[in-house]
Amino acid sequence: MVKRTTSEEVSGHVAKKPVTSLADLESEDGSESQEELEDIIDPQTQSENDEEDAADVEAPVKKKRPTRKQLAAQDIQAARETAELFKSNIFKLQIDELLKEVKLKESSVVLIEKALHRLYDLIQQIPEVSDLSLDAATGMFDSKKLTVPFADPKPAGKPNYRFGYAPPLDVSLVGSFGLKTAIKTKKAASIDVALTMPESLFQAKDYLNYRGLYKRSFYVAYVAQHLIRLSRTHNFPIKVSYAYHNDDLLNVGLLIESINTANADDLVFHKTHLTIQVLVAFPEGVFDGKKLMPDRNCVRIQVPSTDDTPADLPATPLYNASILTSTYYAHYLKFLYKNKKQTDQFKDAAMLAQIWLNQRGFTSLTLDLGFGSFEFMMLMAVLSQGGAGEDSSSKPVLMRGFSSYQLFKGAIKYLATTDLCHGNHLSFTSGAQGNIMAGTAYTIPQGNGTPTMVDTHTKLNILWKMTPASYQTLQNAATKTLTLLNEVVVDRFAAVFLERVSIDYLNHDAIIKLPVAHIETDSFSAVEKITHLTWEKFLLNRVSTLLSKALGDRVLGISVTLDKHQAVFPLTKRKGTVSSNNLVIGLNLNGTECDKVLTRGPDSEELEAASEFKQFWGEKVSLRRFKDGSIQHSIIWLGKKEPVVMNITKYVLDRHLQAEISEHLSSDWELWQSMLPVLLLAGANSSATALTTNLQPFHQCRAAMEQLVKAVSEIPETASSSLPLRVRSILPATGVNAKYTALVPPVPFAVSNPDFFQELILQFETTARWPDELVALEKTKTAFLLAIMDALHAEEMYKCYMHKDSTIPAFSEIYTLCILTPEGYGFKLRVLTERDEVLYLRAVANSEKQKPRLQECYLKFNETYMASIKHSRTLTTLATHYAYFPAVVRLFKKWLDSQMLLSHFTDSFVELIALKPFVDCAPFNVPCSVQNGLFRILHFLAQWNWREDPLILDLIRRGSAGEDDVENDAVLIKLSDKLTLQSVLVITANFAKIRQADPHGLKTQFFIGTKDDPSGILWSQNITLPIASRLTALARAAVQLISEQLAPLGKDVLKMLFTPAYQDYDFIIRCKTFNMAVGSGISPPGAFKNLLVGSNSYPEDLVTKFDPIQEYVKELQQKFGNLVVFSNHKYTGLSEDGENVVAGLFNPNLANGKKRFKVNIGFNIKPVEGKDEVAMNKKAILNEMVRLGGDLVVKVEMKK
Amino acid sequence: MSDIKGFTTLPIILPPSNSTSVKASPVVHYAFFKKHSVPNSNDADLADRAARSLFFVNLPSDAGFNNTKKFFTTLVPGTIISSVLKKKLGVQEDFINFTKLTSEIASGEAESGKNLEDNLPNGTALVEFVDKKNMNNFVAQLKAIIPAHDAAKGENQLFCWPVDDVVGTKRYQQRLHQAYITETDKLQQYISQSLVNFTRKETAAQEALQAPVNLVDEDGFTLVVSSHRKTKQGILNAVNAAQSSKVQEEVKNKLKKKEKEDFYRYQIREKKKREMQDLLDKFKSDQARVEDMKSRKRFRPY
Repeated sequence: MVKRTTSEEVSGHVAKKPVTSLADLESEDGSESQEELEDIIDPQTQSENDEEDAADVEAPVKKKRPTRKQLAAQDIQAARETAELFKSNIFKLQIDELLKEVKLKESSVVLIEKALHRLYDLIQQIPEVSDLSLDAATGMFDSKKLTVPFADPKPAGKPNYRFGYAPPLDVSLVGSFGLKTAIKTKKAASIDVALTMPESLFQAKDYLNYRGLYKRSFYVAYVAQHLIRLSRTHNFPIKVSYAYHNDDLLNVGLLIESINTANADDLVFHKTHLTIQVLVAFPEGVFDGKKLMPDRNCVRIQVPSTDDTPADLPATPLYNASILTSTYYAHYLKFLYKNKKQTDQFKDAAMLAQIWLNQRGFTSLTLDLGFGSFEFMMLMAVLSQGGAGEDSSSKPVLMRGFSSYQLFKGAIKYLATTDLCHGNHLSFTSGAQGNIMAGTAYTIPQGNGTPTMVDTHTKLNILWKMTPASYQTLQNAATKTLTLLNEVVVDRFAAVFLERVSIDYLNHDAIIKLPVAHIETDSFSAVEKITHLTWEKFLLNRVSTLLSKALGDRVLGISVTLDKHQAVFPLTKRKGTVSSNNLVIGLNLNGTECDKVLTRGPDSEELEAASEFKQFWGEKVSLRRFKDGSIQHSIIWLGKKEPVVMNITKYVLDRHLQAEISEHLSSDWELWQSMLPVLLLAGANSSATALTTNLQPFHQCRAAMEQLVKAVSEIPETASSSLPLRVRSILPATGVNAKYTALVPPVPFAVSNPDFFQELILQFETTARWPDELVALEKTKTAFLLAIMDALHAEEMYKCYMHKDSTIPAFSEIYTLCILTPEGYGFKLRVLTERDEVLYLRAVANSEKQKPRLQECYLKFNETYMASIKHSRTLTTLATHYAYFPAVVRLFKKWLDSQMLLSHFTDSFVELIALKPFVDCAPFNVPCSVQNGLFRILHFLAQWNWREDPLILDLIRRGSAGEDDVENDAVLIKLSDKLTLQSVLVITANFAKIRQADPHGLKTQFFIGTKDDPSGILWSQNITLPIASRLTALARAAVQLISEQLAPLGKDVLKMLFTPAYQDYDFIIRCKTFNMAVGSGISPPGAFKNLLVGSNSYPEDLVTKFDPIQEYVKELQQKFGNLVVFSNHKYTGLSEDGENVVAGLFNPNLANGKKRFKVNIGFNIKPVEGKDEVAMNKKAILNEMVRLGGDLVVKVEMKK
Repeated sequence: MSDIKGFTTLPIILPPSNSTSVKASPVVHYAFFKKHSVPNSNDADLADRAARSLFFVNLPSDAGFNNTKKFFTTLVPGTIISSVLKKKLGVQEDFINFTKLTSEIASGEAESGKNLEDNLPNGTALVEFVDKKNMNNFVAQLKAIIPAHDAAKGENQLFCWPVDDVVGTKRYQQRLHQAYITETDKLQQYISQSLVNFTRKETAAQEALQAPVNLVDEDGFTLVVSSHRKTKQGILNAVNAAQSSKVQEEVKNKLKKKEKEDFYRYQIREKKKREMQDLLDKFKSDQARVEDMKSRKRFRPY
């Protein structure tokens, strides 16, 4: 244990001086602060405090300077403790750093405290006034300068209640600043000061019909007027405006901003970026809590029916809760303060919670989530109380001795696992023990479930601002966070606390906007007004209820928000104009359900349910008989190309919100889907999923592959030309079709598609008779392939070619067998034997000078023959598991190709990058739409610092049942494919080794470690630095464009995203156009579908259909690859008019400046001024390239 | 144009490509040449060939025998060249002898030092003339007309490079046709022949290996050969390898492994100490990591 020195103790207390109420601050000179008093009274707290310090041992500044041994002992203790109390050492250290980072600046705190004192002084000087009638009250103010902020409906006539001002009972700091848990925030934060109105201004019945609220409005206006007057004479330059507290239109307060002046005497707190919010509270005990329970009506209105009794009036839960909230600011502050004293690390946990909430954009605002830092702190406080929950004898969920991490995690776990919404609730008491009065049981309002965490002492539902939808959002976020916190293999600190999650376009699969102006306000009647308070809140509720009912399982979460609302308004206005333009509907889809065309309803026999179902869906409902014999009401969503969910949304909003409102819905969803190539397949494009999740074209190709495999395997039985060895296996390798990741899915006879030939690896049964020499071995393989060719030709169904393969560098003796199947698909057969690897490795071992070159050969062999099979297998599983992965990877490939990058990467590399948001989606969801997938990939690429961080992917299927059980079972962990801590360590060590040799990433840039490839560079070894940097730069540019243009994106923005930047290249060779679209199986945009027919036979001469430009680039690459980086579009067929270009970038080291003449300089040179000096002859080089192109080249542009 | 390091600069006007829209000034390519310095060779033939060769740096990349000949005869009528030996520029297409690297059978068969071009650097060429006189004449005449060319500002048609390559679509279809083989007879033949050759070599090696087995030496010993052995060279390699320090070390390690590690109390104590140290080291490294992250401003949440 470390004892603090005296000087530290003093300074510590100065810093720690609590400002829990302004009254405390009043006696500035020397009086003991509350904390100190308590410390004296309660010695245990003191000792606990010291223990806390001992836990943070790492920065002990000591006078005594202990021996090394002692220090080591402390470290060991700290290391042990943190391992137990926190997740891991590193996690705890990171938490410490983070908390340090977000702490308010000491100077800011001092300054703002000074300002608060000044404010307190001014408030004390406000003169009293009493017994004013409404007219007298409003007449007090010059209406040009100040209007009383009465809530709607404005009081009128001659009410018999009186307005007045008396000095507040109490002026106290409430909220996180008061608790000292305030942290830095991104937006300007405010400090809440509550003025409690004196009881004398109220009558017991003032809670009814806005009466108390009107009195408060006057009080607020009166304070505002006098504050402005007084501030002028007291060197306190401020700007005062009205502000709704938490967007609650009933609860208006004042917002005080500092004005920056040059006068040195003025008290300016402008620099702190803090504002002061003055809230006006009702005194405790004036209004009866029972009357303000959520099932009561407190606003009496005329209900348009004949025999109305007050009982028929709807309950006004929001109104009631607003009044209760205004009553108990100080009460809850005390409650939390008490908790903070009892639980050491409560403060840190509260700060962590605030960071967590901020990153997710969760606030207490009514129109937002309704769950902010106050609610979170309350939850933690309640959970650490004994007897929380249904069962009063239950133990507290959180212990007093918990670490900040444990407190935070406990609360998150509670949120994730407990449903406080549907029937279930949490009740507690914030009063002293035994203060619960009998007969005041809290009644949970009926209806579709309100999230409830009720205080039996004050009768306030802490979660009153939440709706079922927002509760679900919160719960989803908590569940995700809990999984992250439970993760033991990878450090997830960043995903929990450091990453900003509140980015709409990353967070939602689809964003739909609905302009509010087009919705008629007819349905917003007087009754709705008292229950929902505002039209916006009503609308949000209505739309989210409608959609969650209509979409059901198809969505995981729906968030409906307004894009803009104004909580602060000038003193001259009576109310803030809530001027929203759009309702923003964010959908998180359920990948397995969202695209089902069928919505199943109740059984035909359940009459009541059926009529309700019909009522909701209208004429779309039909009775259907299913395969299992049941007859059900159901709806089929067909005939439209837009996504099913969009179709349903439009239908339901039209039917229930307003006829033809769907015309005004805007979304870029369909636009994004149409970015994927449309295939030239009869009948394949009719359904809504044709472009995205439908894998039918791939399945057909697979079927053809299986036929071929069967044919080849059965060869030995045929008599004519038998193989001496039996076929053991034929497995798909680098081909993109088997993995479902082809940018252009396979279409029969589409030979111009660059992915036409699918590679298969053939293995024969084991034999010892393979030649023990590599070249002879390859020749033997060729002999086998020739035999297979003969056998297949004998059957006449298949057409074969031998192909000279150049995959392995400097090895020209390899042949593969290309087979065209009668179904119209092409395959390429390679033979792998068990001797290959041994021989390649032997070659590496025997090589001396050529070692790097041979290593390259070996890696290439490994990649082509062995790793590709594994990768292909893994991808196939994952592609079928993540419904949207194939579509997303295809869109990503299209983006890469449009930016002329795709040809630089291996397919597998692209696929692994695209897998990142799927297998490692935290802190977001698994993408379930093409646009979300692409945004997430780009977002990742834009921020991936590949010089410092490896990408480690755990290629398993997530969310499968029983995953939680696996976590506890060591045996199952071993069996599962999950990455283990060991393998992660191996991968990170590999990365560290690479970076040690190459710290700036000049040789190796992208490192992607997986279970299949712990080396991490298998698929990315051939990427060069300029290409890697370009990928990052382009992703950043794309992300910037997307985030500047709010969703939904327009057509022009999409076009911009997919347009290459030619000006960055040294030269552009524009090529002759080739119409490759039809030949590649793509239906060109704008063509008449019925006029286009895909081919149904092979061309006479296969190679005439291949894209000559790709061959051209290949040759350029061979000849000039050491001088120029060439880029081009790989899929000529995808560009609108068959255009393609070759863009080149000279190697700046060689191209610029003079070089000394050397015989082996290695590139085309010209003499320049200066002795024996030469420079690169760029023009001659370009001339040679163009000459090779011949008729392929149309135009050349060279950068000046 | 002055000489560079003893090389004469030869400007070559490249034909304008048909696609450059704007008629720009002609593109000039520069080659550099000098008489080939005769390598110290005992081979009289090689020495003779070298003596009547010009050494070129940076001939156009499509220079072959035909167009070089045409170009030279246009420049200096009467020039007769007999061959063009060239090392291409571009991505290094170095030859890897996989046979030699993976098998002991072929060792010692590689041929070397027979050709003039063997040691040419990339991007250089040797142009062999019919005799020394012809070459000297060519050089002398050329040196005379180059200044005239310089004066003509690139309009001198004499220096125009004759192109005879197949280019464009045709070129690439040709290449594709070469890669996709339908007529397999030739390939079949070639493969069978190579395999026959390989088998023959293998048998020869096997026989050479078996020969000493039956021999009894003076002391009455015979050589024992494992059935897995394929060549004589292999035996020698194995003997060398066994004497290397690496293998010896391995043997030592094997012995060491058998010692118990938690038998004596001091061993247990040491082990505990080590664990503690590990824990501490990890803590320290974590601290360092966090410190590093902090310096990279990782902890700015917004």
